[in-house]
Amino acid sequence: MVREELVEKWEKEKPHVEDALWDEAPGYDLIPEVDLEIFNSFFLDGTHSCPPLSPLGLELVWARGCTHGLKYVNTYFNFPRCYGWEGRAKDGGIYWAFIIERDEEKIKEREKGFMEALMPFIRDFDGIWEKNKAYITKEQERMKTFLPERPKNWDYLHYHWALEKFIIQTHWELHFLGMQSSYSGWILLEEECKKRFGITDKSTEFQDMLRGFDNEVYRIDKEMWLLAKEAVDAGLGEVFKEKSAKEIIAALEETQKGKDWKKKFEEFLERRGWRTIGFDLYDLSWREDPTIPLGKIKTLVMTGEAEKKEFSLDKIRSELERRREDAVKRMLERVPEPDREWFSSLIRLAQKASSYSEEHDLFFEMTFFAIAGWGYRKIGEWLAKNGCIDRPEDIFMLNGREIENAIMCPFKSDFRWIARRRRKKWEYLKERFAREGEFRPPVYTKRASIEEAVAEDLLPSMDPICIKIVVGELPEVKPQEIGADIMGICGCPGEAEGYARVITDYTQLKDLRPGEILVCPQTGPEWTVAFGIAAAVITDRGGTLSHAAIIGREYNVPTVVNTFVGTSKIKTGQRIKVKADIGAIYILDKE
Amino acid sequence: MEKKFVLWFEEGGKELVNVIGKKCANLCEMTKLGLRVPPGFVISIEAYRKFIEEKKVLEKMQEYIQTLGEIKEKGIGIFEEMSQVLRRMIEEAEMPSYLEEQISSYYETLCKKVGVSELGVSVRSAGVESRPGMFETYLNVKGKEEVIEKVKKVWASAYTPRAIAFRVNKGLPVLGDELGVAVVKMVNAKAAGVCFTVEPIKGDSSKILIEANWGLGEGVVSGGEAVDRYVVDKSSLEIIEKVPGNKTKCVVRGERGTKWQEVPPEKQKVLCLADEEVREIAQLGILLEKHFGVPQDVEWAIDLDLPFPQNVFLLQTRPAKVMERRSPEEEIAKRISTLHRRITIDKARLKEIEFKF
Repeated sequence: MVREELVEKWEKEKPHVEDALWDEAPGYDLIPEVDLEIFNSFFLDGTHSCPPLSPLGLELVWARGCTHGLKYVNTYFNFPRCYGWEGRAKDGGIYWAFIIERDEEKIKEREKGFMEALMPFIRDFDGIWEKNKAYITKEQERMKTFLPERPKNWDYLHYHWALEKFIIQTHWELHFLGMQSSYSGWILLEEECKKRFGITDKSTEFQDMLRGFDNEVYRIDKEMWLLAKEAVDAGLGEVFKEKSAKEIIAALEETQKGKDWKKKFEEFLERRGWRTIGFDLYDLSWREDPTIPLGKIKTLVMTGEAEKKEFSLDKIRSELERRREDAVKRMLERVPEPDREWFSSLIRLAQKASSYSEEHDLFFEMTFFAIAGWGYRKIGEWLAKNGCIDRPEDIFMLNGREIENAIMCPFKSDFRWIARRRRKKWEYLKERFAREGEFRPPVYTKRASIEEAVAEDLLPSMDPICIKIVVGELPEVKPQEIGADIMGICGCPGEAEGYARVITDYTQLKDLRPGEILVCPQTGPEWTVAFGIAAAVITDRGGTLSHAAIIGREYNVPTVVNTFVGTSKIKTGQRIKVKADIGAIYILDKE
Repeated sequence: MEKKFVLWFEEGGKELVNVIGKKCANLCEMTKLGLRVPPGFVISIEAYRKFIEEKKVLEKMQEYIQTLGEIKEKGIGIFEEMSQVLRRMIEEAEMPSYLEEQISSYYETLCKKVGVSELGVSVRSAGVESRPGMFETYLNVKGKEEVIEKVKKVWASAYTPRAIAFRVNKGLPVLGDELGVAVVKMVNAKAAGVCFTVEPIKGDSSKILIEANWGLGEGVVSGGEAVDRYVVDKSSLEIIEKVPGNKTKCVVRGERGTKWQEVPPEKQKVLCLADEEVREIAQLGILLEKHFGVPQDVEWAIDLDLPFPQNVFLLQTRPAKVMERRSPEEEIAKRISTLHRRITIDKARLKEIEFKF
């Protein structure tokens, strides 16, 4: 049946008046009765839409933006089996279907273009990345100063359009170019190692080759460590220890040393504070909510990290660098001479997957969302002032077309009823998520089972990102005899035993004590500080290329990812043992 | 008149590739060009076909293949087993008498021409397509009975495990690679080797590379010894490089067949070619490259007794295979692309996995 007929049929059978109002992503709303006829299966993106996203974040960033970025990059590289992804929004979640080519003749035809497009990235990944970085930095500065002193209505509208292009095009296109090319290298290296030596990417020999890299995120962490150190040296340690992050600023104003430190901190925020914490436009950046970096600094003071002579990551890294060089050398010795040259290039490309994956979050998502979120708040202030919405942040309850529609005559465009309705639903979804965990179906499918959906509609795409991170690694079949209570995937090898600390929100990280084992849903850059403290890290989601695994390897902390049930099965204070090499977790004192 | 299945080198030419096989056609072509090729004759592919049809070998081979079913699913061991059975079928069958008579009579004439009874010859395989190293060659074969036996062995070498595996993997019929045979007088070689009219690794076509060892050419092509290496500039014929190898062993003729022999210590690090011989080989290479239109990979030998330049013989020529050197990024891109092509999903295994996204 053609799409038109399907929609007609759906409308006739189910006149969803309510759903029609909950239309934050027009054209991208998931309508199973229609969409499944065409794509068979849609998979929930657990990495990016837990907890549920705000309507504008879901519509602009994910449904329109990310969908475009994936179609762009798969078309750009001519991926033989996948033209891109189709995104659909439902209940604050983004669901993906893969646009798969199944005709072997066409797949073969696409290969030549694929190789040609990929080669420049294999040859000079860093060169391309530096050029793109310069471009996005320029665009980011332009967006920060886009509005004139006294903006007219159309200035706001032009700003809105510029922000849409900024997110959908500049951000997502460049984001995926680096990602798909370097991840392809990782996957090939894994395949070659598996085929030749029986080594998977969960093994130490493999992971040692790909860690020990500095990047912008760590440099920022180090700046914060230095700030924490200066605070302690200036005798401000007690302020950080006793006051909550919210109270610290006021307390600093009371002394000259406090004022001096605060000045340095503000200077740091202006340079480094354009970053959000999650994947939603609604999230505040560090500049807007300094309690986030202050909380991190507080953690560094509380844990005694600030009193160390050396930034712990520097020390670990120099050791890891040495191990990396050894591991690469050993691997190349095993590779026969004629293959050595390209194999060594392949290792270099796969190493990019590790470092790019970590750095790109900062340069792309976090910075772009901080700038766009800040920009939309400005537009929101103006809409609220004109009575179009109740308060500035209600702009995140509207979609791009509604904002466009409202801007020119905001005083005559009443969008309060839509914003209120959507906010109510969003608050409900978030609250339910916090209470129950994931309540949305992981897959909408026409297939008989999830296995079949994965086998027919996901894996045949061979899309590197889909396989490596978004849906999480496919869990391996585990032998029963390990006898573990919980199984996951090795993110960083090693063993540890200690008390569990279950943390579901990074702002609670200050509770983490040295030697404890951090158990969390998944980590992002805001969590990095925890890796310097925890004896081991366990996450519910992710694969060998997800944040926790990469950072775990950089900090050399035993890490198990993709346990699915870590946070719900383990309780804070329980004694647990982690054998990361085999992805096993043992609860030692079961109730 | 009885059909002719055997030809003197002088009677053939490169146009007969499909009739007598590539190597035979090239030997004939070189002879016709007036180049120094040892005397010899070729046996047509048709002779092999007559043999397997009239002696019911073909029928038996087909029956055997049918009993096997789908070969691809059987693992590598099957090629070994098939090889043993199929080769025995060919080697144990008797040759049709008219074929045996023709071959014997050519061999006897060759002996008379040269003036040696029981002349030592090499019996070489010649497929329609050049597949260096795929089929067998027998050296220093003496007497007509042995020549007949070795001709059958060459035919049977289309069924080495390697050759069978090659055809199966390429999706070609198992029964294939019908071979022509060249019977060539052995050169009493002082030294022998190969000559590439293009540098085979980097593909530099302005240089000629010659590799040489004492004794027969097999001491070079088997690749085990550190042999002499000469690089000649193609336009000036200047010898740019002369690197003596460390030639501890070489291949020489035995009573029958050949054997590896220790090289006396005083000869191991001495160049085995004189400059004039190097230039003569290079010139012959250039001539062949011009004639065939593509860079050549030439096998040659230097006779022990004849004076220069009559001592330089050509034994074989074929298009030079320049190593296909992909750049690292091409290699990686190619492999990533292959990975996308060869996706396999083991559905049975997916059933054992618990999915939770």
